Amino acid sequence: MKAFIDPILVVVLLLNFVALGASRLRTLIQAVALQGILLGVLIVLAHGSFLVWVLLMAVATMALKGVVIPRMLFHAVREVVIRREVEPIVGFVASLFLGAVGTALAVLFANTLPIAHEHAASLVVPAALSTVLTGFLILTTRSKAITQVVGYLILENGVFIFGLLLMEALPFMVELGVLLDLFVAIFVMGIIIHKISREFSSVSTHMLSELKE
Amino acid sequence: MAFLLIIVPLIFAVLALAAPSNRWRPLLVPAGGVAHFILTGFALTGGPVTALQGWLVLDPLGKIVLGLVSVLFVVCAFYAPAYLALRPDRQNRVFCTCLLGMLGMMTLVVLSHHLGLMWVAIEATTLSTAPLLFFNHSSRSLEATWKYLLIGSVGIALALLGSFFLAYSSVHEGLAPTLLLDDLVKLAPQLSRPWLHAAFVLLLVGYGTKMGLAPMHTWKPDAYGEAPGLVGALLAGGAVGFALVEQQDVGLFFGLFLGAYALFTLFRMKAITWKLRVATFLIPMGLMAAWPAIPSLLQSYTHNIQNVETSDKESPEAKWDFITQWSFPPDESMALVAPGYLGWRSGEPNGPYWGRLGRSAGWEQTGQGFMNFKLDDWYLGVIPVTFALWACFVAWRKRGGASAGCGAAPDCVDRRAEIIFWGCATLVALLLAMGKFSPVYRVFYELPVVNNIRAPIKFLQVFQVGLGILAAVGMEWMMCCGPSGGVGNNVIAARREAGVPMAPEQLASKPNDTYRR
Repeated sequence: MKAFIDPILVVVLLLNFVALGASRLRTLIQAVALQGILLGVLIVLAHGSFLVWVLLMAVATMALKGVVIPRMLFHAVREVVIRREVEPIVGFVASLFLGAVGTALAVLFANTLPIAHEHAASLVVPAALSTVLTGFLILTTRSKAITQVVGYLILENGVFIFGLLLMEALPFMVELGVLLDLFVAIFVMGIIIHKISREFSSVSTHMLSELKE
Repeated sequence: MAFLLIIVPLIFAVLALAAPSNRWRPLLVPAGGVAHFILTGFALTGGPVTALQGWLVLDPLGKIVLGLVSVLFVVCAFYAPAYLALRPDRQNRVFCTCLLGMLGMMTLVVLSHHLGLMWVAIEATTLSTAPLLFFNHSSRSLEATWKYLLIGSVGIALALLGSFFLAYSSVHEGLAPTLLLDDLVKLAPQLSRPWLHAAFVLLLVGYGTKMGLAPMHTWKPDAYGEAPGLVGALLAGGAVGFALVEQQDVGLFFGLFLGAYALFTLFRMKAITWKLRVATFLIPMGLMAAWPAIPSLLQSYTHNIQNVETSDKESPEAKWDFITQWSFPPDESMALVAPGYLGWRSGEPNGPYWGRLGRSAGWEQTGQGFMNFKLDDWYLGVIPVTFALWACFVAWRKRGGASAGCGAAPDCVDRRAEIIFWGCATLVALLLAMGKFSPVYRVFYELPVVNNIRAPIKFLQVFQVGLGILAAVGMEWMMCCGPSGGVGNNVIAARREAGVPMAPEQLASKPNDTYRR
C-alpha cells in the first residue's frame, strides 16, 4: 500500500499550485477540501493496516478537513457577501513561480536531511515542506481574512503530512487534540471574519491597520 | 492531584457557562481562582505530582511557574467581578468561561511533559484568550484579536512541525520515536544532529512567536493595549511578577506609592457608588501590595533584624547607622543632570567615585569601614528634568483656572491634579531616598516594619519613575501649549497613533479633520 503514497502526495503538491493560482475563492476552498480528504487516505496508507483507531483517525481527518471546515468557509463567504474575489498582493503568475521555487528548495533541503532507511525514497518530507511554504505564501500575499485562514489551513496540512512519518510516536489522543484545536481555531476565526465584515463592511485586512507598535 | 489542578478550573468554567445570572456569574472567577490557589498550595508543599505514566509531571521549574500563574490569576480574579460590574451592558458568559478555561489550560501547559500534549494545551490557551481580547467589541479590539489569533496560531503550527522534527530525530537513529521530555533528555546524545538543528530553529521561531519574542512580537502591543486591563495583566503579568520577586523591598516601595495613587484616583472618580469604589480599587490594590510585601517582610526579618541583632545590637544609633548607610547625599543631586559628577564607581580605576554614598558612619573620625560604595550611576539627563520642572511650573501657575493644563488649547487633557500628586510623590521619594540626611526618613523610620529594610537609596527608583511621569506630561503640555495650533493637531494625531484614548469634549472640538482617515 505504501506504493500509493507518493502518487497521492504528487496530487497534494499539484493542489498547492491550484490554490496558488486560484483567483476565485470557491476554487481555493475546494482545493483545500480535496487536500484534506487526501490526507485522510494517506493516514490509512501510511499505517498500512485497518485497525479501528487508524480508521477512526482517517475518518475524523476527512470529516473535519474535507467537509466541516470547508463548509464553514463557504458559509463565511456567503455570509459576508464578498465583492472581489482573491485579492493578491503578489500576482498569480508570480505566486506560482514562487511556489515552484519553494517546492524546488524544499526538495533540495529535504535531501540534506538524513532520512531514515524506510522513508528514504519517499516524497513525504519534500511534500510537507513545500506545502508549509505554500501555506505561508498564501497567508502573506493574500489580503482577505478568509484567504489568510485558508493559508493557515494549508500550512497546517503541511505539518500534518510530516506527521505521517511519526504515526507511532504521536498517540491517538494527541492527534485528535491537534485536530480539535485546528477545528476550534478555524471556528473562532470564522466568527472573527464575520465581525470584521460587519465592522468594516469588508473582509480585507487592509482595514486592520489602525494599531501600530 | 495533577488531574485535580487541571479539572477544577475547567469545572468552574462549565459552571460559568451554565450559570444563568449575568450579575452573579463573575463571582465564579475568584471562586475558581481560590480553589486553584489552594490546590497549588498543596501541590507545591506535598509530595511529587505525577500522572499518566510521566505525561504530567510537576518539575521544579513547573513549581515556580505554577505558583506564579496561580497567584497572578487569583489577584486578577478578585478584580474581575468589580470590572464586569462596571460593564453591565455586556454578556460576560463567554468571558468568565474562557478566563477559567485559560487557567485550566495554562496549568496543563505547566504540567505536561509530552511535547504533543503541551502543544495542544498551548493552542487551547491561545484560543481561549481570543474571546477575552475581543471583549470590548470595538474595531480596534477586533484588529488586535485577529492579529493575535492568526500570528499566534501560525507560530505554534511551526512549533508543531519543530516537535515532529524532534521526534523524527530519534526515528532516524532507529530508536522508538517519542515526544516525552524525559525520554528525549535521556536519548539526547544519540539523536540525529541535523534534525535536532532544524527542530531547534522551528521550535524557537514557533514558540517565540507565541511568546512575542522580538522580532516576532508584532501582535503584542496591540493585544495588551486593546484587551481589558485584567486580561492584559494576566498576559503580561509573568514578567512583572518576576521583577517584583527579584527585589521585593523595591516592589514594596512601589506598592506604597501605587497604593496612594489608587486612593487618589478613587477620590477623583465621580459617578461610582462608594461600595464599587472600595471593591474596584482597594481589594486588588491591597492584594497587590500584600503579595510583594509579605515575603519582603519575612525576608527583611531574617536578613536584617537578625543581622542587626547579632552584629550591631549595641544601640539604636548603631542600628540607625546600619540601616541608613546607603543614603542619597543631597549635595550630589547635581549628578542627576551632570554625568560623572564626583566620579563613577567605587573601585573603578578609570573613573573612581569620591562622594559620600555608602560611607560608614564615623569614617571621617575613625577611618573604619567604607569610604564610599557606589556601583551604578543615577544620571537622568537635563531634558527630562526640565520637562518635569516645566510640568510642575505650569500646574502651579494655573492654580486658579479650572481649565486644562494650559487653558488656551482644548487639546490638552487636564492633568493638573495628577501632576500635583506625582510632584509630591516624587519629592517625597527623593526626600526618603536621602535617608540619614533628611528628617523625612527619620519619621518614616519610626514605622514598625520598614525600619528594618536597609539602604534608603532604593527610593531613588520610585523617584525616577515619578520624574518620568512628570516629564511625559511636561512634554505633552509643551507641545500643545506652543504658539502654533498645528503642534496641537499633531499631538492629537500622535496620541491617536499611540492609542491614547481621548475625552469626548476633545472629539467634539475637532470635527472632521482628524477623523477623515
